[in-house]
Amino acid sequence: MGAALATAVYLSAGLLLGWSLGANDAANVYGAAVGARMIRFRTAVLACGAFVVLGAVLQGAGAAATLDRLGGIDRLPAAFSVALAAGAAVVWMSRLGLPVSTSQAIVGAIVAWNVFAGRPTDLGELGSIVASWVASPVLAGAMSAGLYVLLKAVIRRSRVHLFRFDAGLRAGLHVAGALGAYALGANNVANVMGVFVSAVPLAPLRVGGVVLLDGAQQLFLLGGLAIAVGVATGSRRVMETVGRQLLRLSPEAAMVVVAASGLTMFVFSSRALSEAVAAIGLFRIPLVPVSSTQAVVGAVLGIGIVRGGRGLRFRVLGEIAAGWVATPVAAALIAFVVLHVVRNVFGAAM
Amino acid sequence: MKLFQRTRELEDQLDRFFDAVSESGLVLRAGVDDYLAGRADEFARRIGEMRERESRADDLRHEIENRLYAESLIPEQRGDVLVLLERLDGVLGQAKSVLKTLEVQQPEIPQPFADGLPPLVAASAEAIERIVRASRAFFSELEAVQNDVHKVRYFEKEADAIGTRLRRDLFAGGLELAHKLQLSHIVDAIEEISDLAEDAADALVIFAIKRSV
Repeated sequence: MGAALATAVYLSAGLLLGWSLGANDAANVYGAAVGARMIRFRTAVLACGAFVVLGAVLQGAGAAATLDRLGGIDRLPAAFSVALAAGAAVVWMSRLGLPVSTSQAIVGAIVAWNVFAGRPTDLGELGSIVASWVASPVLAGAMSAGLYVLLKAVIRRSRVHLFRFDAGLRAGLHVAGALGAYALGANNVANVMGVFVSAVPLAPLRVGGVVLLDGAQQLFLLGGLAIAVGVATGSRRVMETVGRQLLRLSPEAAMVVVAASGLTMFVFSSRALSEAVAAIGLFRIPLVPVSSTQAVVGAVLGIGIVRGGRGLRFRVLGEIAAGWVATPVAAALIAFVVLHVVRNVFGAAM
Repeated sequence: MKLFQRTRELEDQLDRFFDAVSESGLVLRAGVDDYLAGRADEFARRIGEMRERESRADDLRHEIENRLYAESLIPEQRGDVLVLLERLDGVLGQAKSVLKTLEVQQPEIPQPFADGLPPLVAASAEAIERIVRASRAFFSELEAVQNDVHKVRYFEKEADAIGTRLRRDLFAGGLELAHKLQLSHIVDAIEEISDLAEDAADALVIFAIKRSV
């Protein structure tokens, strides 16, 4: 009983991180549809929650394994400290109005753990993670530019009735939102539960006599549910704000942005795709948690560029690049403090 | 699937609205012809037909407006579509007003003024037909809008020229001043139809540009 309670307390840091992720990042996938009043908030919450959980359970393992390899955290207090530090960094930097990503905060905190524990950090792994942070907005931008040009050409040629186009757009926003939510769960559950995978060994669980969940999947289910609760209880205002900003483009462009950023997160979390690309002799796509917000910014810029580059705010790119350095450093500093406190004040074994 | 079914219903309502406006031009032509030929019963029937078109268009417009808002449809173009429907309704209303004026005032229309009236009515009725075509195109074939808008402007100018000629001849003739003024007001009312069609066309061009960006 005591061990179970301790596990629950330690996991709470991850769950809190999941809640915050759901409250803030669901806006990137359903904000446009809710902001345009094309999908009701309640419908968005249900769909987003369901697809986040599905993505987390079915496809969360890839990116989580990368974080596990980077830190190899096998003690619950350490996993708790790292998750708590990442969460604190996100809250702190958000309060200061700085662009922040949970994906980058958790990596900074893990590296701090390696230094704290006197373990070497796999620089190859770290390099591919950082490269993915840079690649994800670029990839999202390229995909959204391509999708936008394609969609515009299809609209021009199809001569579809405005009302039917509107109905199609609603369906498209649903599909893009579902894809985005699935990819968010698949890619970002690693931030929430990745550090706990080795620290919380759970026996496989058969659900309803049919579905078999391994230990990691049970954690991802928990993480997915935490994200879903965050979506349900904390995302409304962010969704409306982000939605309005996205809709300045147009509903069809907003749909493309959601689809392109969702596809980007999917690319960085699909083991099957990574292996398929490697099998045809190309590089292996690293499975890494990336920032959904930065993917959205990249996708918006992609559309801005194909529209002729008017009104683009390239300063945002500079802010993102600064965040690649500032977020992990801030999270690492906080992680040092938390790890010291947990070990020296609470006397936890690490 | 339910979403697409609702969309088809709305498309159908919009089509019926356009049909009603378009038919008002045909009823106007037939009504003026009947009046000039002294076919009182036929003319009364045309008045009834025009009222039916106006009432049908009103009902459809309100239903479409309500659905666009209640179902949050086409949020980007909703305002433009409502303005367009109101302006088309105004064109239909003016066509009805011409027949109503003839019905209420029962003006005596002498020759050669009577011969000049049908071409004026034809130009205004053609303007109605073209603004309806341009409006239909706005919903499904954006590039075709400009072509029909151009024709609306052509028929507005045509109606303007015929109206000016008719008024000049009218005031150069020997009718009583009150009679001249009465007939001149009828010319104004018929010309107003194409003016309103042109106003709708001007707005439509802007809406089409907004949609194409």
